[in-house]
This record gives sequence, structure tokens and C-alpha cells, in this order.
Amino acid sequence: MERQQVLIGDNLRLARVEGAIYFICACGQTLGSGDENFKDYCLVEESATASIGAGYKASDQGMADQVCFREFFCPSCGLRQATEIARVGDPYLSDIQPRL
Amino acid sequence: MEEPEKLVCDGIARGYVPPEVLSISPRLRLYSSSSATEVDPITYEVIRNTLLNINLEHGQTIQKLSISPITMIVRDFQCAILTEVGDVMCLGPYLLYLGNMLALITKWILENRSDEPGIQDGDVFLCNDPYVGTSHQQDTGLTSPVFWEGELFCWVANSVHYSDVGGPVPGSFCLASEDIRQDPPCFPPMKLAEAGKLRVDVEQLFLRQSRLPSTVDMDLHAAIAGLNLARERIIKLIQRYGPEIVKAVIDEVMDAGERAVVEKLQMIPDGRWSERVYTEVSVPGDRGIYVSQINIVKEGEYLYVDNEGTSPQVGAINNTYAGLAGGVLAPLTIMLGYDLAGTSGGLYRRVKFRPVFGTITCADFPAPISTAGVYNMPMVVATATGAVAKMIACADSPLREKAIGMADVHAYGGWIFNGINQHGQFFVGMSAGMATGALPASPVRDGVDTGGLFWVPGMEASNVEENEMAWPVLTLYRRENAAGAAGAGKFRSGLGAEEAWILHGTEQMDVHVYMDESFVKNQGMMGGNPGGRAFFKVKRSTDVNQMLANGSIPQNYDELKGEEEKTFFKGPPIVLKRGDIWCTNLPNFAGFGDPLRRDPELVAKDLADGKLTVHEAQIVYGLVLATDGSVDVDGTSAYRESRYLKRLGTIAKSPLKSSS
Repeated sequence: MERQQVLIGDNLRLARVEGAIYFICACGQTLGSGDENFKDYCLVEESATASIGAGYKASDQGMADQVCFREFFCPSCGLRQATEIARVGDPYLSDIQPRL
Repeated sequence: MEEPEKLVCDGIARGYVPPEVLSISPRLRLYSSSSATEVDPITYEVIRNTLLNINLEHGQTIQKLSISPITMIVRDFQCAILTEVGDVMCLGPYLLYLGNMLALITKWILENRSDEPGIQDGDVFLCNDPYVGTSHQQDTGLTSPVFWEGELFCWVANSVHYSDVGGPVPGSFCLASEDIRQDPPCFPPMKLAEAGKLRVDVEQLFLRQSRLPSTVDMDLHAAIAGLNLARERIIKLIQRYGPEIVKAVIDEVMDAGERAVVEKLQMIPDGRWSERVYTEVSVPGDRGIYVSQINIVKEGEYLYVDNEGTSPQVGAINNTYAGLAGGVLAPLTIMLGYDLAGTSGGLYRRVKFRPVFGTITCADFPAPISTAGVYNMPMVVATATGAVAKMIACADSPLREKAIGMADVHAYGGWIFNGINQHGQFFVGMSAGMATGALPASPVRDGVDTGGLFWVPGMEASNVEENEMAWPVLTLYRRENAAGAAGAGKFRSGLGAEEAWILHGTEQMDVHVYMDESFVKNQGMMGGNPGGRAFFKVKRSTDVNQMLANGSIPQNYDELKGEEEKTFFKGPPIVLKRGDIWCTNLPNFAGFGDPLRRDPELVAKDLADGKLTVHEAQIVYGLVLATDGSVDVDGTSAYRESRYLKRLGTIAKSPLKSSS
């Protein structure tokens, strides 16, 4: 039986809408088409890894400054859909690409 | 211009990748199955469970007879029964990534040793060559054929971590190697026993490399005993039921496992999932950042795995094809093979690798490999776990509930040290700080606090008394971490643990390997927080001995007076002395989902259990308490809404774009 949608975790889904396929947040906001990276349609905050909380700060600030903590928020409801520890300047990882 | 020579996956120039059909000498007669043999269901279950129990007894024999804490207590080993052509039929509940490596070693032997010097009943082959099929030289594999009436019926094999196998550094983890010839020696498969007789020349060759020959010899004989026991038990099983029946059961176990995996694959949509993990410092002094990436394509009833996007091989942070395949199969075994009771061979048939060679996760000769056991292998497992978990989280229920987030990346080994112990003898210690473990969060529940390491199901944390008996140390405290930001999420990670130590019975010892990460490497899942940062903290010239003399056992590293020493990831060796205190941790692992979506009652329970402070409950989870200390439901809802709005109001869209 043909799938009509794919639930991705519990707040994101891939679904058909009027013949096209989109990533859709739990609030109903579309986050790009199914062949794109939904992160490109999120609000993104980049911060130092030390800002995550207690215990994240290390001795070697120079090394720590080479990476960052990224948070990807739904631009409609503010839900955090994804996070990344990434080298500063590296592209967002296109990591979830199910097909319908 | 002349074309560069193409490297072949022969286990010499490049990590061994076995072909679909092995090239085996016709001199070696194989006992192959007869598809016509039928086995009644009761006999099938009796034989299947007997084989599983033989393998468990194999593992228990290693555990009982070995003397190294890392084997005897922590169970850093694996054992398996393999088919006549080296496919894994079942493996034990130990270090999962070693299972497929035993298959690689055995297949390499079939292809390269079946003609000369030949394979005969009673042989035991030893191999610690990562380019053939080990995770690093310390994890040395033994594999032994089981013959029935002159035909090779199956194999029994094990891999054990030996405490020191030579090389320039005690413990054999050579952080500064830039070529495998600066590592401990590599032994391609050679006969440790021939026709049932131990070859003392080969045994001595292996032991001669070690700083701990007596210890390694005891562990080696424990491993041989495990093989002997398994081989004898299988022969008795064949004598009782006949070779046709036993072989038919082995084949059906493989087929049944494959069918069970296919059923699960049908619950997963086709697609592609990836994970990326960063590491640092290829050799001491280097300031580089490096990438491990795993991509999984699910197409129909097969999985195709590659490591495209991974950094080129460099310094001492590499593993071979054996490490890549084993590291990917470990989380697949947990998330797709959880109901197979270790009969993972059917699962392995459904996973096809498309490795990118010359990378840190699939290096070519002569990249050094000895440190992989504490750096690269956990990293590959973690990277693969992230990709597998995202795939499983897209599956139909109930499979989607089996997704489990990323565990540790570089905390695996805790710390590795050596010196003169309280008995006046040289020792090498490997503290398995990871053994207490923590289960990461899943899409439907919190992880389990100090719940073990999921990719080493049989691993156990040593008692502090066992450590104190083995090494010149005293544990001041060992306790669970807080449930703060590290691993937070709608469902939070299980909590790891930290431990503080002092010297006892000796004046000093050296620490060569310790994990003080410059940045967290764990990745959160589906909007969850990443796990915590692994640390190794040292305070010099403390007042700890005075406190102990006064009858007080310090319970908080930060409260002790002393001089804090700065430590670094792969910094220089640390000399610990009397009066010093040091503290290590296994951080919490990945959280799942936005922490602001966590049930306020679950946050309140962690608060009531002392696992969280009021400040963290508010900052991390957006919890508001009423004046009587209960959850202010309306206040929490309003406060969380304000946090969502703040996100929307203050964050600009990033100009960066995604990878292709």
C-alpha cells in the first residue's frame, strides 16, 4: 500500500499536499519540499557549545571556537526541530530524506 | 601518464573486503548444507538454543579464566559461531562491533591459508591485523575450525582485548603514531595451534611484544580454552543429532533472522539518512577538526551504507574497513536485530557497504590503528547510531519506538595508565569509565540512568573495590551525573556517572590516555540536546589526605582545595602523585525532542529526585513552580510560550545552506 505520509519523530512529517510532497511541522507549517533539507526552512541560532549548559566549557577555547551549536526552529511555532554540533561554516547536514 | 596502481581490498594494502563467493582451495573440503533436510520444530529449538548456549559458555569461559580486569570484569571481548564459509551465525552479548570482524578474519583465512599452510582439525589462528579484520591491534582475534569427518563444518572464534601487545607506549595506544610501523606489531593470521598442539614459537612471538607477558598469556589461554570448549560442545551436538540436522538448523537460524529483519525493513520507508560527528587532534599538538559521516540508503529490502563526507585519513585517528563495518552493524543489531538473541547473521546479509577508502573511518595501509579502540571505534558506532536512529524514527510503529539516540563518542576508554602498583609490580590499567553506561533517549521514553552501554550489552562496571585491588588507587566517590542540559529533551538521556580518585600504595603513575574533550561531540536527536562533554580534571597538592585523616571522605571535586591543572584532549602524559585528586566522567548521552516539550511532571520528578536544580528546570525545560513547590501548569505553559515567541522574535535566518 502506498504511504501517504512518513512521521519523523513526533513533530515533523513528510506528507502529500495537493499532489506535492512537503516536510510539515506539527503546527502545520511547511518546511520545504520533500527533496530539500527541511533545515533550510528553519530559523537557525548558532552559539558556542559552552552556552548549552554547565559542563560544556573546556580548557582549550581555541579548539572549542572551531565548532558551534546549531538549533533549528520552526519559523511558525518556534519548536526546535533539530540540533547540530558542527564545525563553524560547514553546511547544514541534510540528514533526513525519507521518500513517499 | 601511467595510471596509479589500483589498491585491492586484500587485507594488505587496503582493508579486507570479502567477495560474495570466497576463493577457497579445493584441498579444503567443506561440509555444506543439504536443503532437503527437514527438522521438526522442537528439535530445531533444542539445537538452536544449545548453539546459543555453547557460545555463551564460550564467553563465560573467557571471563572466568582471564585475569585482566578489562576482560574478567568489564567483558571487553566477543565470541561467535560462524558457518563453514565464515558468516556469523551467532555472537555473544559482548562488544557487538567485534562480531563481524571475526567473520572477516575467518574469511581471509579461508581465502589465503586454505591452500598453504592449509586448514586442519585442531588449528587455532591468531590475528591482530586491523587490515585483515580487527578494530585495533589490542583486540586480537582467535578463530578455529570445527571439522566433522574430514570436512570443515563451522568455526568458533573470539576477540579479546589484551592489555599490552607492544609498541612504544604502555597499553599500546600510540597517540603519536603517523604510520602503523610506529604502532604495536600487526600479525596477519598465523597458526597459534596446529592440529591440536600449541605452537610455542608463535605464542612466544606474540607474548614477546608485551610489557605484561604473564597477564597476556593467561588471557590468551582463557581465549584458547573458550575455543576448545565451544568446539567440543559442537562436536557432541553433531554426534547426538547428526551433522545434517545441526547444519540444517544453522542454516535456518540464518534464514529466519534474515526474514525477521526483512519484516522490519518493510516498516521503513525508502530514503536516505545521515549523521555527522566531529573529532579533534589527529596527533598531539595538532589543532585540526575532522569529520566522521555515515549515510544509510534504504532501498526496498536492503540497506546500503557509505561514509562519504568523512575526512581523509590522518595521524593516529583511523580505523579500517573492519572498524567501519563493525561500527555500523552494532547499532543495526540493536535497532533491527533486538529480537534475534544474537543470531545476527541474517541481518548482516541485508547490509551492503560502499566504503570510501582512504578516510579516517576506512583507512588504507599504512595508517596507524592502535588508538581506534578508544577513539575511532566509539566514534564510528556513534555516527552510525545517529543515522540508524533517524531512519528507525521514520518507521511505522512499533519499530519506530526502538530508535535510540547516540551514546558516547570519545569517553569509551575512560583513562589508561601505568606505573608500579601497590605490590611493587609494573602494571597497565584501563579504567572502563563507560561501563556504568547510560541509555540514550528514544522517541517514546527517557533513557536509563547508568543503564549500561547498549552496544556492549554484557558489559559490567567494575566494583570500586576491584579497581582498588588491581591498581594503586582509591575511589573517593562514584555517582550519577545531574540531569541538566546534557542530554536534555522531550525525553532525556539516561544519566552517566563521574568518579574521583586518589593514589594509594605508590608514589606516582603515568596517564597516557585521558578524555578531556574541547567540545561536545555527541549529537542530539530530533531537536534534543547533545550529550555532555567528557572531562578529565586534575587538582594538585590538595588537602585530601588531611581530610581523610580527619575522618572525612571528600564527596565533591570542586570543594577540595588545591591547584587545578589545565588538561587538554590528547595532551601530554600526566604524572599523578600523592595528594593529587582526579575526576573523570561518562557524560549523559543524546536527548530526544525539544526540551520545552517535556512533560512538566517528569521535570518535577527529576527535581524531586535531586537530579535537577530549580534553575536548570526553568532554563532547560521551562518549568515554573507554584509557591508550594508543585508544578504551576498554567505558569509553565505561559512561560514556555514566551520562550517559543522569543525564538521567533530574535533569531534571524542563517545564510548557510545545507550539504548536497
